[in-house]
Amino acid sequence: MGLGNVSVGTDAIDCSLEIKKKRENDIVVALAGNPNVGKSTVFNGMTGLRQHTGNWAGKTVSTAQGYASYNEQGYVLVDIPGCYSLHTRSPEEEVAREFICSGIPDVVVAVCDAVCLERSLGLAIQILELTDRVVVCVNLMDEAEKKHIRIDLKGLQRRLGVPVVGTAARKGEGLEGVYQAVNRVAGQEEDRHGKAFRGGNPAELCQGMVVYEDEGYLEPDRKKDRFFTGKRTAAPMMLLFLFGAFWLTIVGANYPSQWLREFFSFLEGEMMKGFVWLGAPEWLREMLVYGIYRVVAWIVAVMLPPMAIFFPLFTMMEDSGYLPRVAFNMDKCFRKCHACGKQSLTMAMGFGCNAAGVVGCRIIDSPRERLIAILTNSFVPCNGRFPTLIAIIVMFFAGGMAGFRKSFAAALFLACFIMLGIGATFFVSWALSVTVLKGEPSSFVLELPPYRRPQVGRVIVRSVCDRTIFVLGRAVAAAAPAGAVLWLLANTQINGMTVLRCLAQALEPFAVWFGLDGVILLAFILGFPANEIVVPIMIMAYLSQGTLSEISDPNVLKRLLVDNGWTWETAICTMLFSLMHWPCATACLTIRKETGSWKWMAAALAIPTAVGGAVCMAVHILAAAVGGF
Amino acid sequence: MENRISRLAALHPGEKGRIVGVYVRDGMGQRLKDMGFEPGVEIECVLESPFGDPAAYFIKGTLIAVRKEDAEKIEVEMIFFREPQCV
Repeated sequence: MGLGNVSVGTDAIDCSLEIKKKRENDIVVALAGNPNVGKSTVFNGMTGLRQHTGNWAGKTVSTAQGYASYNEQGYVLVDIPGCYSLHTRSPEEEVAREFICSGIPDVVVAVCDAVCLERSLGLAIQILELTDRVVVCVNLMDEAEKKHIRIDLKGLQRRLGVPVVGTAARKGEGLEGVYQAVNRVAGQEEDRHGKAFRGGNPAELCQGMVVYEDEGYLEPDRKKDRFFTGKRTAAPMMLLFLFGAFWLTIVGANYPSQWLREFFSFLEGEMMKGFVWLGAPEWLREMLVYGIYRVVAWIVAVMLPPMAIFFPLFTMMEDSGYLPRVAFNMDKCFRKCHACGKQSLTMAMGFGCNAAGVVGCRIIDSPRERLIAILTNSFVPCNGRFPTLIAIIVMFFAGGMAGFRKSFAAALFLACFIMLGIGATFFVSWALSVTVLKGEPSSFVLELPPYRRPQVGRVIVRSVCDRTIFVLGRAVAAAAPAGAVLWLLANTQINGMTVLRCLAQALEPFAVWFGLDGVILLAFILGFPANEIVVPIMIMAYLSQGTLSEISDPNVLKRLLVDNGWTWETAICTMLFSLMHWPCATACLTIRKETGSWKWMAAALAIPTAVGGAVCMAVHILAAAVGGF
Repeated sequence: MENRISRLAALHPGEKGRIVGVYVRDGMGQRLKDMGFEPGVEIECVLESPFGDPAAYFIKGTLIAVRKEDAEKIEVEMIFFREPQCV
């Protein structure tokens, strides 16, 4: 970054507002501003943290804290969720106002958007009414320059009476100036009441300060908008993006997945030899290798590549500013279901992680509509379920084909499943709003930000690294212990039958109604802590009967499943149930936290399960009626 | 051309007006005000969603989507509009 700051990576901490100073003289800096002016980017630039950023209003919904130092001075930075004013009664705005008034921050940095300075200065002026210790940071100067908007920062500083600094946080430009200005403001002893600008309106303030050299600066964006939201082009483009992302994921994940399988399979043999050489007892050897190692290896080999591809693709879409356009296009459909168009944004977040999607629902203003969005979020398959779907599709429905046709068919099939999940979301949203969550659709106001070119290289590096670490972390935290427990269940015998089999058999009569078998249902139940481990559980349960030497070949896996009675019907029902069943433990706890009620958490568990169960049962009955081919 | 008073919802893409009054109730009225929907401010209808609702308006340098239902409650003075075509 070319800055002399040593970034100390304390993790971004949620809302607790307990300021963690390292030294007594650390300066507490609050970052405030309208949504989508790049506060989080400024925050990341200064602290070296990696708060997720996206080109849409409301990406940051909770307060984050980080530590930075510049020229030996320490700073505690607090990233406040974006708000349009301090006057409204929405919870975020209250948090922002209270925090600024509390006297905790030594300096408030009011982050503004250079492209729409007048609008974003409104909040800065409101902050100036509360405190004089303000630095105005005009961010996105690079974008303004591209659009030939010239801003007289010095003149603005004279009018405002507080330091005004221009930055381009994405490029790391101008952040030094922010530190210097913060130091200056923090160093001022006396209250300079009256010196700073107050009581004026932003339009007056901007008079003569902002020059639009190119009146047509909006035209490129307008053109894109007309295309992405046009009557004839909007729907095909949305489908194309959805399908394209799936196709690239399936094609791209294929090879690394294969390499990883081969590598892990090789390593497994070596590990076994190593343990034999060390003289480890057989049970320990098998538990470590067949239990823990295999589950972790499966997750890394099968789950990681699709995640590492889909996530960056998705992040790029988010960075580009396309997502709010989707919300804009889809609002009418949500409105018909008495819900809010912003739900499509939270659904999109659900692709990454349902827990994140649930937290993201805070962007929806009406409590009723927010609840609907929370309860239906798990109909979008998260990263933990999505590769399972791909694996089953490739094994059962695209296996006969080769090359391009195979990946194309698989992507199409997956897209159909996702559409089904979206359909279920609409249906349940509608059903909820005519029954327990009755109400009329409320207002909908959404900012459509300017398009930005996604920073492809950076996004890829970031998300691959972040995802890899996250997935590996989760694999170790959830899958490794689960692998050990599973191995024990699969190898402890009661009356000549393994415990896992006993449990599966107990569930069997129930499961067949849904076109599943006992093992599959058991795997979904035991997979409650993390959806990633569902397939490894199935494999282990089936394996406790037969033997399988390696998992390197997907055909071996398919044979294992088929040997255990899987048909195309089982495959479809498993996929449907994976798409629609209870959310994972993390998501459940998040729902409990966000709704503040166990009752709604129970509903969030029951609704998708009921829908999934009903759909699977319908498929089962239908299959039986047709004669089950 | 005499300027006439109309509702924001009546603006078609490409047409411009100046806000006269915002009669949206509750918190949403305040929210709109914070986003720049205030009397005297120039506003242009830019986009219509493929299903006709909501529409997006350019105001104070930003593009903001508002549902027709709310746009009905915002009064504007037309400053640029297309004459309805005579049949």
